[in-house]
Amino acid sequence: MPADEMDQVKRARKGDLAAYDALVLRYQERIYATIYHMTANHEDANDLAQEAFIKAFHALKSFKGGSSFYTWVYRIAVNKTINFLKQRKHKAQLSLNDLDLNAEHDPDLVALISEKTPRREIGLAELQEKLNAAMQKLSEYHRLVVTLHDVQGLSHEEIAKIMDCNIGTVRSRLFYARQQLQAHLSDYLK
Amino acid sequence: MNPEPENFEPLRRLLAWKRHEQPPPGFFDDFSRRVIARIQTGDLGDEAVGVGQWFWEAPWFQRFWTALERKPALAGAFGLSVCGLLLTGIICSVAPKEPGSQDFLHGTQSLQAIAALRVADQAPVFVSSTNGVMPEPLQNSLFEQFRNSQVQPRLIRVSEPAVGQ
Repeated sequence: MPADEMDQVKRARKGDLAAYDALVLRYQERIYATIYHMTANHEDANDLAQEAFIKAFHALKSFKGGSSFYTWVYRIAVNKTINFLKQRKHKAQLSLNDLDLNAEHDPDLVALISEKTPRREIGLAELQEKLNAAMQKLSEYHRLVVTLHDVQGLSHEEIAKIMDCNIGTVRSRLFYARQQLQAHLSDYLK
Repeated sequence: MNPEPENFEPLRRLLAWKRHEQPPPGFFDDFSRRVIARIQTGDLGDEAVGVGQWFWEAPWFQRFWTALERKPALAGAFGLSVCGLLLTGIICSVAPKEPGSQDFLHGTQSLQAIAALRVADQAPVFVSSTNGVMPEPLQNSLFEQFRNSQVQPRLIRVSEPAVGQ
């Protein structure tokens, strides 16, 4: 854990809200993005991200510093999201965020659509919806591994710490999840 | 399981494209302020939820639930054992008492006996027995007997001392 972050954690533990504000600022985008990719719903992601940070603040006294604050707060957010998803299982509703301006010019995507996709007329919005719908068909744990690894770019080791499991489990879940996604998106990946 | 033979590269590129999904402009500008404001107002987040939520989030329950989800056989076995326990409970509760066992007669203080007497008091016509031995008709409830014993006046005869003795 970086020294300045350690200091912020210590101060936040004593009730210094300015220090905690700095910690929230540091991780808010990553936490929000993970929850958003898990729920495919902006409003839910907003609520859950806020509650995760509030819960983390109240639980700071139990944070021993054995792992980084980043891993610890991620774990809180992930557990909260999985619990939420299990409870809302049958009433999932997509509320997707807009794509940023660079999406259309992403060289990877341009190449993927022009070379591989048989349906070249597909719009970006439709592709986004198909992709998110395919993600929602995965179990919570498989979706989480794909989100953390392939979307967020975390390593297997970091994911294993966050999910409190071993690296082998992360790898096998990732493999299975990719297989499932490949099957669901076969029309767009040929 | 060897992940190497599969070619997931196109899929990975497609998934990486999800990073372009962004919340409304300015969303993060006041996100931390909203979190801090909620903390300052004493908001406990999900800490304030009820026992049900606490139970749902308990680690042992999470592990147990995950195990049930992953292993249908385990879920089936658990369901069967719960049904078995339920059936056993029902059978035990309606099973006829053996003639020798008169535990409820001894237990006039027990709730079971009091409840049985109350039922008998309210609808004596429908009182039946499953062991073939008809219970003696109950005249009054325990409370009524107690009340009667209090209400009935007792005559106390005090013999007058003989005058002149």
